[in-house]
Amino acid sequence: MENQPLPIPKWANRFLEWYCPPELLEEVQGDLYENFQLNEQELGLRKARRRFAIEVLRFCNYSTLKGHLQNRRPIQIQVDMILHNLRFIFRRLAKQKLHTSLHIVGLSMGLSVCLLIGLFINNELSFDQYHKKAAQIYRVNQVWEDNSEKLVEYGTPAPVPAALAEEIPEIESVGIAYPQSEKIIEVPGKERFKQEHILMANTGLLQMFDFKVIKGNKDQALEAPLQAILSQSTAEKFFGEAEPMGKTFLYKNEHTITVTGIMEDQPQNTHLPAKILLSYFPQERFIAQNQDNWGMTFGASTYVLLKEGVQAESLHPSIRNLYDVHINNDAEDPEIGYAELQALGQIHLEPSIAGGSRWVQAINPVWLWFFGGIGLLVLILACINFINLSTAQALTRAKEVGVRKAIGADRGQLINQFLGEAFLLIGVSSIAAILIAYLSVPLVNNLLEKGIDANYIFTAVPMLSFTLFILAVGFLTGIYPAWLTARFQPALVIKSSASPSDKPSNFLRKALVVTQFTISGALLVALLIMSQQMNYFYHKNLGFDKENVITVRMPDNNKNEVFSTNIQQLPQVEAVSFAITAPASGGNWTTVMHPTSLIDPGRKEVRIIWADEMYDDIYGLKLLAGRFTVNQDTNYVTDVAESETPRPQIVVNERLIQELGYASPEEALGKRFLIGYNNWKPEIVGVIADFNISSLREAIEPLIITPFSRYQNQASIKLAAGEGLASTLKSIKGSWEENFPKHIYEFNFLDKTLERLYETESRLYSLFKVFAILAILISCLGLWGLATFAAVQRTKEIGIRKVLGASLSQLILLLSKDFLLLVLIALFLAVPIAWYGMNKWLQNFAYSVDIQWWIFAISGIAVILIAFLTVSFQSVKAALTNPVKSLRSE
Amino acid sequence: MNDRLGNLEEMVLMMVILVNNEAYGITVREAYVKQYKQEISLSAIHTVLRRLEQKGFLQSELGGASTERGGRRKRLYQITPYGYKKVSQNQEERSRIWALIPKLDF
Repeated sequence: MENQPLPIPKWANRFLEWYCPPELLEEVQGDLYENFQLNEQELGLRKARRRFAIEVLRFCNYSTLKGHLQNRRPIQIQVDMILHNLRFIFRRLAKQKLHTSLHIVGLSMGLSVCLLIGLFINNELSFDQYHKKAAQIYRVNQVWEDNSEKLVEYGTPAPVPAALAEEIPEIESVGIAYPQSEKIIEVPGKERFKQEHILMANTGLLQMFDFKVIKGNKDQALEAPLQAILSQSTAEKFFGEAEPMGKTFLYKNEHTITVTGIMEDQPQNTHLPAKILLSYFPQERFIAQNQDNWGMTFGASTYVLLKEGVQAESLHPSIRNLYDVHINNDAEDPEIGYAELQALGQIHLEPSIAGGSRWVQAINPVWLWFFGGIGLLVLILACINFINLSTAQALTRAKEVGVRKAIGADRGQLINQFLGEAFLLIGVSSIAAILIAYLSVPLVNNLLEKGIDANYIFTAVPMLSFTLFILAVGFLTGIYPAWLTARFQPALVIKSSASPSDKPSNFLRKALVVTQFTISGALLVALLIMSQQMNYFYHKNLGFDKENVITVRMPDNNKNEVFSTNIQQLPQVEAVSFAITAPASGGNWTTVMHPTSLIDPGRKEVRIIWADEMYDDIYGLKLLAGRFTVNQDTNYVTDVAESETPRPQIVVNERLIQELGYASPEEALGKRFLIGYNNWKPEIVGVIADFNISSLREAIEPLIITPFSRYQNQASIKLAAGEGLASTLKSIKGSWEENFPKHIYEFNFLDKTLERLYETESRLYSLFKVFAILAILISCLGLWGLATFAAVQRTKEIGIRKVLGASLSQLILLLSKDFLLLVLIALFLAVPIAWYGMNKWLQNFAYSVDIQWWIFAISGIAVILIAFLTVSFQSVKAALTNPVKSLRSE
Repeated sequence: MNDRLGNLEEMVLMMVILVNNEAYGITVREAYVKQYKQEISLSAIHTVLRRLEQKGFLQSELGGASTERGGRRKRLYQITPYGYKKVSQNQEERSRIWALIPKLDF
């Protein structure tokens, strides 16, 4: 009956055929056609076409569609169907053990990596969020601004807390936190020990934060000098089982502190992990800070609790006013000071503010993005595996689909069946992933020195989000293979023994393999470059000798000489030097310099290392001109008449010469310039070659070295290598303890100290290493699976080729070359991506390795080799099969 | 089963009676547009016809394919005795009430 088709809009007609239940289609379509022709005569073709489309859309209503609902099968049949499917799925999975385990291993590795990264990121973001008033708590950060340079510290000058509390009504309360370095503690009846994480605090701080005081009165425990609240574990460490309240201990060998409270141990995600809260009383001798000095910070931080609804930024002008009154009134001094409020939740995420906090290094959010990205990539890899293995498998199931369709299964049912299968696999994998993640949390904690709580996985929020996540992943990865498999035409696949055309999925599979190996290749390059950079951190020539040097703190530098004389008698001690710090390990002073005027906008920053005359010998500093300083160079500084500008004699580095504009080291000799310390106008007597004065993240800055015995309280001891080192170290310890009987001896090898500068990088690098290797492993797993299927599919072909005389190597090449081509393409894509990313990363460091071409070559060869081994494992097996076996059965 | 006859349903039902033997989507709509002087979409007609059949006021059968319809048959509707009774009851009821209403002169 159907003659030439009507000129109706095809899409609308197709849409109608798609949504309309079959029993209604005939009458509806008939009416629409008839109507169209009526309209065409009356209104013309264009309008008729439009009307037709509108009518089709209008027909898509409940009345039409409900036919679909009524067509559903009775519930009992559906249940039977589900049970049947489940039984079938289980049988299948059990039969194809390799396939099943590839799926499960790959996915559970990917998911557990994701889960771990999620936990890690979540933990970093959760810092300080547990305080009930967290949203209204801010830390007061001190800002020093000098021309355009801005220096931010997390401490505040001593008068700031009181001034804020008095002058700014929007502030509800003010807390003071003064973290202490390790201090010597003596509990009666026990040996002295060093205690870390002692926090001097006031009652304001105690009430602002959620310190859970379980014994003692929160309002009074810190209200008097020399009182302390201990954490539970600290109390146990100090006093064992005995009741700690009211007990005393000796602080810094002289202050008797009474325990007035016990608090619960704090959670790990705080930037103030205090073990002891010590009442803050600045008048006390052990703080001894000038309480009126607005011009400098000393380590105590101020926290404010804002009244509800107050915006932090709105307080900045009034805080600025406060400072203007007190310090910014010197027209001569270009430096101004003021304070900014930093939200409590941001403290752990802004390392730019002097590293974040005293005890807990803040993390750069870039790292969080980076790891989030890695997690996503690993997940993509795992999903690609899943899709690839499933689509490859689909071919072998063509007959099953054909039979099912022939006996009446429709496409929806088949899709449900295959999707169900996918979800079963994903479900098992995710349970495995949760277990793996749970068990490896301690490893990650160990690696990163974090305290992530593994049990957190089993609480509601992560469980729920993980479940939703799994459902989404399962649907995304399951739907395509299911759709593809269910699409096979029964007549075709049952009749012919040939596999159905596999073109679209074949292309997709190739594209996915390329994606996988692009990611893996890029990760491998990143891994190699990172390892180079780490290696560079540890082994770069810093411009001084760091081997066989130990550093020891001197509690009292009046004893420097005695100690030095004592230990120089030891055979293995080569030299001893006293200085404020060793090269490159921080602790040097910072001030400004200029040839003529310190308030000139052109003034530059300069570092000072106070060091005696042995410093250059111990560290092998290279002299370019003049001489190194001798101890007498600054001895007379204090004797100069008041009218005279002090003229200490100093050694400077090359960088300083360049900054001040001298043409050569020789020319700089004898020149004088001003520095911002005690009105000094020092004279250059020697120039040394540049060496790194801080970590390799930072560039070398202008440096002054000159003796100043008052600040030289670290001994650097150069030892001769060889046997007997242990006994020498022991003798040094003995001599030290003889001089300082009330203190606790500690020493560090300089090279180890320097390695610790890169702890963050090193930790994150080791985590990255694990994840990157896992990612590559997952990719290989997928490739192996694909190679297996390719080999199985071509069993007959291989048999015939073998019979006809193909050699083993020819067969291996035949089976591997497709995959190797894909890997090769992937490598070409990976190179620019990796180069770009790593270039960005290396820019974080003032000193970094160059990205060399051979890195790419090595990673390329490695990836190809890995891929080849993966594939050929299967190819060799296929090629070795006896052709009789593969050809016998038809 | 719901035996209410809604306003639109009644209007369409009467059109089915009016068209008599050739009542299907297109003709019913034509009659509707002509008699009531207002537009209505084909899908609304279909919806109402199906509902009327479900309520037992109409019965239907497939038949009468034609070339304009691309060979598709139409669903032809016919009033059932029950439907006819219902619609005439409605009319009587209305006339009775109308008779009770005082005639106003505006």
